[in-house]
Amino acid sequence: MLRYGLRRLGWAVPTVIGIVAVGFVLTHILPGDPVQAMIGEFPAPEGYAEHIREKFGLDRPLPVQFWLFLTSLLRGDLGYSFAHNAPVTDIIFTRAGATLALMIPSLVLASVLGVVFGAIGARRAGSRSDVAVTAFTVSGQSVPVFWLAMMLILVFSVRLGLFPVTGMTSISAPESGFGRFTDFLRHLVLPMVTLTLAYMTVVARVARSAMIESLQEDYILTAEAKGLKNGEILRKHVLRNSLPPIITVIGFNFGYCLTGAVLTETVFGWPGIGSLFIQAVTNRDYPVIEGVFVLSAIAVVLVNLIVDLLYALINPKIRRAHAVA
Amino acid sequence: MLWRRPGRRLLNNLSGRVSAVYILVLVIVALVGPLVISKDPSQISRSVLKPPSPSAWFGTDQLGRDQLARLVDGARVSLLVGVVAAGMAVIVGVLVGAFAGFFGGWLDIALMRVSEFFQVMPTLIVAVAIVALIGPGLFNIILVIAMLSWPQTARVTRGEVLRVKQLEYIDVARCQGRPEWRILLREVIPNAIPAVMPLIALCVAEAILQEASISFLGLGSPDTISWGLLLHDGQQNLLRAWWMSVIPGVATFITVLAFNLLGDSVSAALNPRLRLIGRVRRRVKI
Amino acid sequence: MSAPILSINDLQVTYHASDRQVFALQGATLKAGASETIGVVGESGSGKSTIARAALGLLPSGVAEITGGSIAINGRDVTGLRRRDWQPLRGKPIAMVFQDPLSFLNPVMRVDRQIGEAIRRHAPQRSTKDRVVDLLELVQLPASVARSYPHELSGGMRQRVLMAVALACEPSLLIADEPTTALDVTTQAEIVKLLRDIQRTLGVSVLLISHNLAVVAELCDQMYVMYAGRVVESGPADEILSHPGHPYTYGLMTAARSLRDADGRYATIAGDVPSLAERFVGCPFAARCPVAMEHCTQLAPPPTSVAGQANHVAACWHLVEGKGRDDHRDIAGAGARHEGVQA
Repeated sequence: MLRYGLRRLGWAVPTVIGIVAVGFVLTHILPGDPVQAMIGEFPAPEGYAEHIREKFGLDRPLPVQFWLFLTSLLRGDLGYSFAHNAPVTDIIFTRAGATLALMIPSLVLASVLGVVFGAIGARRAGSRSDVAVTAFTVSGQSVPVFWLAMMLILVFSVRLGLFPVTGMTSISAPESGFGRFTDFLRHLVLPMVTLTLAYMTVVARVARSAMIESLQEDYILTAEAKGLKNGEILRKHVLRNSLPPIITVIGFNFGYCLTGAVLTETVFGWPGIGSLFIQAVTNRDYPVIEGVFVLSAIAVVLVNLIVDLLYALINPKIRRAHAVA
Repeated sequence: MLWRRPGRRLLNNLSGRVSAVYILVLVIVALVGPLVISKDPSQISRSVLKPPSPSAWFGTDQLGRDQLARLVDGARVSLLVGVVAAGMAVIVGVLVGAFAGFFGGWLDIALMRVSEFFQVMPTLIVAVAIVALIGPGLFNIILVIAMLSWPQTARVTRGEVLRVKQLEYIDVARCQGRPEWRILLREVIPNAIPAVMPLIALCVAEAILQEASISFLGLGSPDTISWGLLLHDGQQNLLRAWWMSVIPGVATFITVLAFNLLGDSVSAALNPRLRLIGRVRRRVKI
Repeated sequence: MSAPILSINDLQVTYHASDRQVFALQGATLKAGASETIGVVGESGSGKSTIARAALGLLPSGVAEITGGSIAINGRDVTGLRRRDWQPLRGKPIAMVFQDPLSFLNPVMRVDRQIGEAIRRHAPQRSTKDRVVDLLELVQLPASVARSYPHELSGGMRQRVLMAVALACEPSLLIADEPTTALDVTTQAEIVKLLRDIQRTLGVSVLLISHNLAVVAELCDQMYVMYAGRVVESGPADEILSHPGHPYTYGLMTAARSLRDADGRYATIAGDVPSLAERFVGCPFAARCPVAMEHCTQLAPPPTSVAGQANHVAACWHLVEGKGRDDHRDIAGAGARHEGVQA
């Protein structure tokens, strides 16, 4: 298990270096002034350009430049945004909370609902409920997330007036306490529903095929011959054996979920990293763009690493094999 | 002969048939529509934000431009981006996958690592970051989308090449002393292609969605009308003009859906085995 | 006499594939009473496994269809039962041990949980943990196996675990579908011995399905010989083995008795197992039968008692036409000419 973990970690490191390399190529090598790319189009103080040139060794050979770039990133230095007048790392971390508050419940809900929907489809492949599940998942993958968000606003906020249109809090909300929390929840519903819908179809699709596969296995016959009830077979035998591919997909599509979060935040004016990113794009605030890119990519790698370890944990073969080895 | 039966099976599949017809109609509309519709999609007028009416079927936008004309014009861009980007992605993916699978070893490991890297990345964030830095423009957007969507094709091709390369006739070709790259190009890749076919349609669907997202975020070139741009304008006027967001959104949704369904039916048509499994799989009903 | 635990009468099962049909069972009759050991012998594709699955309502739904005949459990007709209604009948009166012990055990569940599930389902009042150990002991496995995963066990151990799972249901009839096929010869012998021990100590009936005549001969009192979806001969095992009534049975016995004959050839029955893509009009064995007569291919022979024994029945025209026992043996002997691959 430990060895397996270390090996996965060994894979993650070059991937992170790859991400940094892409960031480096974007700022240093592509046509355009690298200094400009690292300051953005906001007026910077006198001499700051000189400082950047110095810091990243822009007159030195490319490998040296890459090394300087890499080490400054490793120190957590993502540059300084003059649009916000703050270090990029700080800006991103103040926004991270809102994004996590949106993403974590959506991810959890989408995973659970995705598995449930997948099970409904797999239970009787080819039946009417299965066709419905399949139609739902294909539609979910075809609908632009941001448009889904807009339609939810039109229906539930504008038409029915159930939820606020944008933002994370109302100005009129109480400063603290329970009232503030319910206010937050009311704002959370629509963005969360959007993200959940978009993501759960991905999970449902994989869960369905994984469960159909697992229902094919011989041990299901044994379970049936024992006289187990259908629900029991589904929960204890089918689900457990379908979990590895499902978990892999949940991790594999974390990047997709981040993308969805960016779009959802933009439509709902949710003050997270996504809107920060889009704002930065509009402002040509390059250090923030670069920072969000690098950090989100690293987050994706980390999540996939965790998923790989989880995968090993629920798969006794890997667990034992590596414990013995 | 090999292709006739899948073709018929594809036509037997209702969703595949409907999707194919829809796509055909859409292509015709995109090609001849602007000639038929007399209105100029960029013509500003004083009738601003007018809801759908007999004079403007799909209403007008904040500058009084006719939404129907813009929608038809936008279909061109969306389809163009979708098809060109998907085409590039599939070609790159087939080549990468074929090389990785055929030559194996370190090349394989490295190429697959790279493709996995691209697959897990938050594509939109990467795309937007790149477009923001290299500048908007149709070609840049196509390039970025293609760059981010080849990995799936590469993986499928690689798997297929691994299977094909151990078939006996490849050994026969080897024994005839044919050079490796020729075997790869003449024997291996053509036999791996059928597995890739369904991905073409799926890639187009993905590319149309990507383009819509990028343009929606305001990163498309402002003078090219695309459905993403219409949705961008639609969001700006969401509370005042529902038609500006509903109509282009429905168009995008249905088009992407059609390509996805087409891809699914192509794969069902090419793999009758899967269908049989579908039947046998009903073995256990729970 | 009370009703038999399992009674299958003239059962017919058809599999529907997308482009063809397979008539897997074309009329099979079988009975299993209390404390009996019954063997079903036949080549692969003869319908043995189909019978076993039909008895537990485990035929692939949507693919298999019962087109005729009946199944009764403890006297209750269960032929047309829906899948949901089968569930309470599984395990307790009839439990099943499957062929391939690895694929029939859940790979991500420990052994104790897989056995425990069956205990909780059928005997919830007992302490599961102790019972698991008891059952493992019964199938002669150490208690430490309880905490193992299937892939950590040997083939023979897995087969014993599967037996423990089946016994946990406290069945009165244990169906063992080719329980020794996936194992090596010594392990096979152990499993057969274990089956016999279990049958004696617990008094359960055992229905053993095998292509291996020797295994069946060793273990069973009653015997059914299947060919091409039909039972061609049935009766007490001793009776059948000493006086086979059907040419096919005789061929099987000769093939089993001497793997090679004097010329160093493998003893086989000439010809191939027929495909089951159509229903047979006459005797299914006619095409391979060395003593086939003209009307064998046209009319199905009725079950006829062999050598005056009422409980020993075979379906062969030669019996109907009243050939003497010795005559018949000559005929059957001719059918067992040694042909096949050079050793």
